[in-house]
Amino acid sequence: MLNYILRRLLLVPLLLIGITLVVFILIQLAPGDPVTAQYGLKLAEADPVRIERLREELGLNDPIMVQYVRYLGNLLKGDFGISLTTRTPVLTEIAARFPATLELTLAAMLIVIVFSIPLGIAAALKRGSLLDNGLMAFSLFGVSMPAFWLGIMLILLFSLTLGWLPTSGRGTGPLLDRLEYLVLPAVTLGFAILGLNSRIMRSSMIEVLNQDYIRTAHGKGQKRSVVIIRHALRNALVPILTLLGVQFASLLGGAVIIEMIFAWPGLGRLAVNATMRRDYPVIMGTVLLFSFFYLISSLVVDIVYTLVDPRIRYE
Amino acid sequence: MVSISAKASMKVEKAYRPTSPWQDRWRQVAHNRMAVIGFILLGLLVGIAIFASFVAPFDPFEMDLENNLQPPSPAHLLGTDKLGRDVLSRVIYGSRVSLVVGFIVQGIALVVGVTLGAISGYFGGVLDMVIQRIVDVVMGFPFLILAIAIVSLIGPSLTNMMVVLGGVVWVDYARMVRGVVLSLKEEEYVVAARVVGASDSRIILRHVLPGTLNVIIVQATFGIATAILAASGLSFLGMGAQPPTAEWGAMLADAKPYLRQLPLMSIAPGVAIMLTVLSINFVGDALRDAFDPRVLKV
Amino acid sequence: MKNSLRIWIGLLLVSSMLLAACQPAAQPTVVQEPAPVEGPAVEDTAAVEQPAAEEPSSEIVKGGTLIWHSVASVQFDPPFIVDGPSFNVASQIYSFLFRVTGDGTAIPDLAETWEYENDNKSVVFHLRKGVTFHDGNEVFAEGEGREVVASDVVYSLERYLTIEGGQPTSDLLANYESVEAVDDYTVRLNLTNPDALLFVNGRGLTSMGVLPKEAVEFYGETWTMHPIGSGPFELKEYIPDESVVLIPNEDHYILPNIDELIFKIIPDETVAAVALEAGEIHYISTSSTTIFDQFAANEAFDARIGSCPWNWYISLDYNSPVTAQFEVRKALAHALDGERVLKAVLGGLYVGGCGTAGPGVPGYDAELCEEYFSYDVELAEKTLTDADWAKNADGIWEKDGTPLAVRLEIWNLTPMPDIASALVTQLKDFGVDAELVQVEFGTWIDDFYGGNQKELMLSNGFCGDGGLNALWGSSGLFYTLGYTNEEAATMLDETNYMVDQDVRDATLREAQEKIYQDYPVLTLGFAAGGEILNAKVQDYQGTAWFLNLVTTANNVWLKP
Repeated sequence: MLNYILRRLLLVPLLLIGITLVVFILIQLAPGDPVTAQYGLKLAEADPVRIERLREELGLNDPIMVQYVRYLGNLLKGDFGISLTTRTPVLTEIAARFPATLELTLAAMLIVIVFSIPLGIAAALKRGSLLDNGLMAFSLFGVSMPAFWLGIMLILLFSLTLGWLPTSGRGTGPLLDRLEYLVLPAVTLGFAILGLNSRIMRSSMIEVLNQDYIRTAHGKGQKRSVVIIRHALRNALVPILTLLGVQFASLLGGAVIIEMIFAWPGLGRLAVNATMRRDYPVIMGTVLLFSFFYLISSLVVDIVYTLVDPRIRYE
Repeated sequence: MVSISAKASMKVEKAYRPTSPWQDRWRQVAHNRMAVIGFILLGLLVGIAIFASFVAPFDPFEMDLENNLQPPSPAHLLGTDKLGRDVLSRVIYGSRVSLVVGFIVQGIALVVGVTLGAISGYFGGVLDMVIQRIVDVVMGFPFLILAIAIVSLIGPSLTNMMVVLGGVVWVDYARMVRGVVLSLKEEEYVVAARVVGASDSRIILRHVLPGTLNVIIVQATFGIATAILAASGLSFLGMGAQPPTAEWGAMLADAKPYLRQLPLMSIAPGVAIMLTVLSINFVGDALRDAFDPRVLKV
Repeated sequence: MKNSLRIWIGLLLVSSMLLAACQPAAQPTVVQEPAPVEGPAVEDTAAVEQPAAEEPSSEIVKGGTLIWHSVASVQFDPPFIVDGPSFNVASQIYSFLFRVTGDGTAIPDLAETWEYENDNKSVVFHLRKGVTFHDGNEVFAEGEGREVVASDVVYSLERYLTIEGGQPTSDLLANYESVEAVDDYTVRLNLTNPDALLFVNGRGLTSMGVLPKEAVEFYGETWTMHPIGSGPFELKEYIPDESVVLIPNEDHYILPNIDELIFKIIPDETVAAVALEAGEIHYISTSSTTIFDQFAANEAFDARIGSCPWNWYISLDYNSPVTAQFEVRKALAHALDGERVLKAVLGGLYVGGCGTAGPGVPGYDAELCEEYFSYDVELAEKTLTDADWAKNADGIWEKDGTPLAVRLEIWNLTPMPDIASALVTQLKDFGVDAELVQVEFGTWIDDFYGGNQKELMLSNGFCGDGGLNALWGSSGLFYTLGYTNEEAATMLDETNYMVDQDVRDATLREAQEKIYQDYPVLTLGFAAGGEILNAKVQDYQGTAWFLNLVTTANNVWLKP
């Protein structure tokens, strides 16, 4: 087991290089470069000589691989570069936004876990009941609604009509003061996943409950709740855990639309804006961060598998 | 719950009837009312998509600039959009695009993902390592950055968008199926089959995969809706279906500025998506029940 | 039985969603009580007009927090600022030699007076005494803000023009010769040629903020996060992508009436409008006629049409054989009804006009639309048939076996897709095989400036003076894209040095006509942005480039 973990960990840097290389190449190949994107519509007024000089300075005329290697070299020295649009160090930009993203992701995941697992289990246990059908209908809703639509509807209801919560932003000060800003974005972010996860929890639970060994346990006369907790739950949790681990990592990087709607100052917006402006250092920095998180969470999930289901082995 | 003995006797009775398993399954499905409704609804949707030109009152591209942003009226049951186009007609035509996108993306993703996931989980070892690391790399990409880069590169179009979505979504299946296969692999009946000398492919196909059907179907039914919504998200960022294509996701994005004044403009495509998801869901449930070897058939 | 429950519950949920949706939906004419607003709202503010100066009416009330809206993240270093949102903030932090009001008048700021010398090739600025840089930070201790002197102006200007990657205004850069500090309070700027655009919004010296050298050097790489200037406000806190918090500069020669100024960054226009309505922010600018109309009808808000309309036009690929033909360009110009499309999409924000110089701008030609760009399908058809074009069996125009096919490229900036969809439909109705291609911004920019133009590209831009030169002058954009018109270009170049406004206006108009009769672009019309304020905001006079909140001409305050 330890061997396995070590091997996986050693692969992480390699995979990061792979991911960043592909992203780097794709962005470079896409039309446009940071200079033109930066000038934007004012390019008409710019001095072409200066533009060329700027391109040279930034090394944009060098072959792609040369640029990538140069980037890698700097990276190993701990230099993540500076943003080509704001001229602020990439790490500063990321560090300024990371807490916001983490906060939002954790809040959303909390909502999802707290609601989806118990609801899914309850629905599976009371299959066919009002609860079950209510849950299924509700989950369908969650999946059928695009985030920005739900977000704006919630804003209209809770901020404008009822006036209970602010429309957007993150607020300033300690977390406890800012909770009201976190509610709507976290709920919107969690909503779609809530539905899916509840259903998967439910299916997986039903699946397990129908297993022979469950009926055996029943037959042996064990109390129902014991049966559930000791036998069914552990196995039923396996698919959900995969999903949660993966969702966490993707939420970290993919809450862009929620961030745009709720003006949440997170990494998603930073990454997408940087991509549109071809701001390579920022793009690479955020990709590195997201990928790193994903790879680690993927490893953690795999390890948790083995804890939950001792039959699972890795070679 | 029906008592065990009654179930047992009924099962014994059924065993003597000379019907094929397929007929059994079909009867199973037909008796499930919700499945029937689901099939009908789905059939209706597909029918609307195919015969859109007969069903829709207007050409979805026909503009009436001076009558734009109108609330519902007898002529335009769902009102008109920014360029005076009939919303109802656009929702009807939109079914074509959205259904195609949803099904094709999930279809490709399912085939690729389930295959690789099953192989990865069942065989383990180096194969598992390699496939999972590829999955890691694909999942490690922040989706939107990838989407923007690829769309900028290969150009914006519905086909390209499906390629991008499909190329990313298969990993969901792969990971999920692998997880389930890892546990199922150790089940007694699988071990038994191996001992008996059944080939790997037979084991996977006959014993392991059916156990994954549950999660696959749930993932697929949700996935179709997600694909439609992902298209909407991409349209929100300007990378989805090209205007003036009528596509539910893009219509939702376009209706955003008018959520206060003309909520119907966004509710219409939203409900269309929901109905599609509902029907696919019912059908999926029924299929799962029919194919699951371990759900008691009474 | 069990499953039919699902349908009922589903219906219940749908109806509750509908209820939630219908509830806040208002007919545009219903007056809404904005939610958490203290005190009596409502004032008798003018609705849809050119920004008029508020009468210095009731007593000015000091205090309060003014919350402005920013649509994007900002940066603080003047040489790199080219976008509105960033400059809105920079307008508060820095002093400029002068500021320009919404209607184009240059008013004093750091420089109290100025005059031309040496055949208008030099400008001498006389600086105000006693202006100090912000204090109470790491560079200037509390109470020890250094006085701004001529050498600061020299330092700032030279840095502005020469820093690597900077984007100084092109006319200044082209004409700059030298700058000198004659004495502590006199700055002399020497140009190689007179610059007619020196005092024009967005050109000349209007982006050059005055910076303290020691602060720039102290912070080095992180200077961009710690801007220090001498403007009416100091930076208190910057939360990237969230907000910028400014507090008054106690030592400014005009003390701001408000206690605090916050720029809230809300990227989504719809959400910003909701925030405005809920009373969370006091201002938005919008290009959506729906939002504009909604607030125009609401007495608690003050909706104004912006003062600098920009033009919408279709640029052409001069290397394409399709658009190289004069008759094709002329026919397309008459086959498109730009006015109708823009009116439908932009409503009250559409102001008409054709060409590059808009209404109220030097060079504006009120007859250009009628003469060259009237919507006349018959004329368009005749233009083509006269040149041996004919419609083929599919109804598409064809000549020598080649059908008339064009692509119209846009990026996803609202309302481009709507405008372009309508234009493509008009083209199709006329018999052109037209296709709409939507790309993202980086690609569009690359295509537009990089010579990868599709046959047609929808573009907008240039509000105000200087557009004609920027596009059609000898160093102008379209020159580099392949359109040449020597005569017009020379005329335009000369206008850069003309100081007599009437002569300049006439020359610009003449040059513009020479250009447009050639149909190098298809002009559609001008539209302005809308500015919407909470009616409590007083003494705001519109923004063209500078966000003038505290100046010698106005000092905004909030009604309680």
